[in-house]
Amino acid sequence: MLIRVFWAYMLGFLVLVVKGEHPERFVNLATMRGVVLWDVISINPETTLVKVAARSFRPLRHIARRTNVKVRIRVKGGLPFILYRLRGRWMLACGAVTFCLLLCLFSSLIWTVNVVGTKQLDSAQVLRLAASAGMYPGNLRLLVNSKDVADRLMKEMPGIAFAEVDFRGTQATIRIYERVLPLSSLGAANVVAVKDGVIKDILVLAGSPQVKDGDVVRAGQILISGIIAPLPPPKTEGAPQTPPPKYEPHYVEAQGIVRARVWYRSYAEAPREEVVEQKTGRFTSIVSIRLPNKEIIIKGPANIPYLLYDLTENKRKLPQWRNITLPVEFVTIRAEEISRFLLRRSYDQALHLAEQQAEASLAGQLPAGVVVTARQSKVINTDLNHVGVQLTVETLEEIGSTQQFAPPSKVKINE
Amino acid sequence: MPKDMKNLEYFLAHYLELPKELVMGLPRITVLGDIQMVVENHRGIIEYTTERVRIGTGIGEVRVTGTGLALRTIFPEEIAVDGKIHSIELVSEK
Repeated sequence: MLIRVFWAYMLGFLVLVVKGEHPERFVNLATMRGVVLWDVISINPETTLVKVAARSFRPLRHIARRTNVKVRIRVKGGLPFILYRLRGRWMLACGAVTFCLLLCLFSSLIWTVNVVGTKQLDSAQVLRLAASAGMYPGNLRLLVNSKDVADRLMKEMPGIAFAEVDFRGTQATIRIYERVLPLSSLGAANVVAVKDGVIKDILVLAGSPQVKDGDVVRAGQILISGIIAPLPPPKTEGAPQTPPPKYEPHYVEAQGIVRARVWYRSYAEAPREEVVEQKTGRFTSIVSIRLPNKEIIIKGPANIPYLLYDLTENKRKLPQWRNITLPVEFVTIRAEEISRFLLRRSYDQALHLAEQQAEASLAGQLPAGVVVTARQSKVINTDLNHVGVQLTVETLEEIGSTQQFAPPSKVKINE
Repeated sequence: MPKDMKNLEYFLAHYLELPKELVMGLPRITVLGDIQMVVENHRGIIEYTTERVRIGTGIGEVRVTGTGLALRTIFPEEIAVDGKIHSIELVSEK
């Protein structure tokens, strides 16, 4: 069925109006003569619509004459008729063909090249190398072998562990998986405190500890030293006194975890009485055109009818053309009425507010993700008009940081 | 056709396992629900309106009544009738 419809479209078909007393006879005779009819639909007892292949129309005329019906073409459909109509408009056909060709051409170009996955490596360098292998915007996709580009990237950039090139439409994506290089040793280094605090626990992985649990440390103090002192020589009694062999200290990169209790403190005070401004919800809008020495109000009152108000002005100028600017501005003013009143707070309300403010200022000091182990809020400096609160929080955090130092020359550094 | 001849055709078709509709010139009518009917081995259309289609066959006529009936395809061996079919009737030749 579908194939027949396809061929009917390709070879052209006609929708005929058959008028006469006996359209059945016409249909039967046509079928007997080998003319295939389809979609025979009766509109009324004397009129029938029939579809027929365009090339079968000529024999139908004789059949129509013999069966005494009138045949009229209502629709000419299919490709040959469309082409016939386009015959005089060859530029249109050229345009369609050109469009298809350009579409094919542009869709086979590389439009963009993206690099994904670079952390240490320079994306621009990857792009340059890929471009030298042929993968650059504007090149034909067919000319680029993605495997060759990936191989070349892996061969010429030692920092790449694996590379793959993926095409999606006109977009090429270079996916880079970087080689993870072993961390280079810092050489001799200490672990020093970055903050003041009291040591809670210390775990030494390398180096010699300089502090113990419960010690108070200041920022910058060495917690784990990178200098390992030599062991004292074994004492042997009665042995002849020989000069002890010269031991030299070892220098290492000190490593370890030092956790300490750290305190943060902030102070805030809240007034018991305060003049507060609040919007009443009433507002007025004024739309005007402002000229250099005149203002024309289009909409809204000439003066703002409120005693206290908050103004929002929105100015719009006409677009500038070359160096000509018209001195006309469209101004929209929105005035919101404000009421001012004295707010009295009870002692508890003021305390709560002060605590909230202290908490907010402390939040800025605390490092992200730190666990607060204790908090204390203390009222200091209170009078009739103010309540001052000091908030202290205790946290447990890692305070060690590695700091390099230069060991004396000609010594062995253990890595 | 004499009755003996009919029996002979049936006998041949039966024992030689030939399609009976071809050997005996019988129509093969296929009905798809109430929306389509295909008559193979027909002898032309006797009447066609959107409410009634009569198709001639070797054993008489097939009468189809319904609404919106249309002849979807007409080949020398096959006619397909589409539409809402209400009844199909076989009117055999006396």
